[in-house]
Amino acid sequence: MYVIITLHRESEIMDDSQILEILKRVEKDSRWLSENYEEIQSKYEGKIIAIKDSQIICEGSTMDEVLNKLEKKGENISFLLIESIPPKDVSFIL
Amino acid sequence: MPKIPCTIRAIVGRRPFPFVTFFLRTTHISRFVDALVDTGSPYTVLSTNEVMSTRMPITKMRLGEIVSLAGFHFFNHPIKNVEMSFRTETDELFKVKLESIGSLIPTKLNKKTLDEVKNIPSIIGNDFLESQKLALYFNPSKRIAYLEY
Repeated sequence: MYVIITLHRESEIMDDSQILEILKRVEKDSRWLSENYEEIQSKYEGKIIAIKDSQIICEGSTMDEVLNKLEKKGENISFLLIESIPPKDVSFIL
Repeated sequence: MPKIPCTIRAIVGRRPFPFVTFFLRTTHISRFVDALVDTGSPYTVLSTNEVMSTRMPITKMRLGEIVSLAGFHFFNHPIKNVEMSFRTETDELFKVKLESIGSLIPTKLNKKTLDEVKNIPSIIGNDFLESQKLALYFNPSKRIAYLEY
C-alpha cells in the first residue's frame, strides 16, 4: 500500500470563505493603522511594524529583522499586515 | 453598483490617500497586501518591502523594464500567474487572474537604497483599473473611498 502525502502551505489550501475572513481581519487592522497613524508614526517612525488584531506585535528597522522576530514568535507572515512607517520629515511625490 | 471598500490613510506629507487590501496568490507566494490606489500610476506593482516580506531572492530579480518612482530607479520585475482577491462591501470576493504583476526591485541594491525605498507602497495603477473596468471614488475631505465595478 502506498501512502502519498502532499504538503501544502496553509495559504495554498485556503478556500474562499477563509480568504474572506482573513481579508476582513487584515482590513480591520489596516483601518486601525489609518485611524491611529499619527500616534503610531510618532512612536515608530522609520520602522517596519507588523499588526495583528489592532495591535503592533513586532517592530524592527529592516524587513529581515521583523520577519525573523515574527518567525520566532510562530506567526504566519502571510496573514499579517506589515507596514513601513516613514519618518515625519520625509515626503515624496509618487 | 458593487463596491470594494478602501481605507483612507494620511501617509507621506500627511495627505489622505486611498488604500485597498487584497489577497495575492502566485505559484510561490501568498500574502495579504495593502496597496495605494494611484490613478496617476500606469503600473500596478508590489513594493520592494512587499517582495522582501515574501523572502523572494531580490538579488536574482534584477530584470525587467526600468521605471522611475519617487526619485528612485527600479526594475519592474514581473511575477507570473497571479490571482488577486478583494472583499466587496457585500462580503463576496472579487477575483482577478493576471498573467503577471510587476514588482519594484531597486536598480541599486545597497542598504541605503533599501532603507529609503521601504516607504514606497504597493500600487494599484490605472492599468489595473482599466483592465478590470473599475472606477475609483475618492472624497478626501469626507474620508470616503471605494472601487466600483
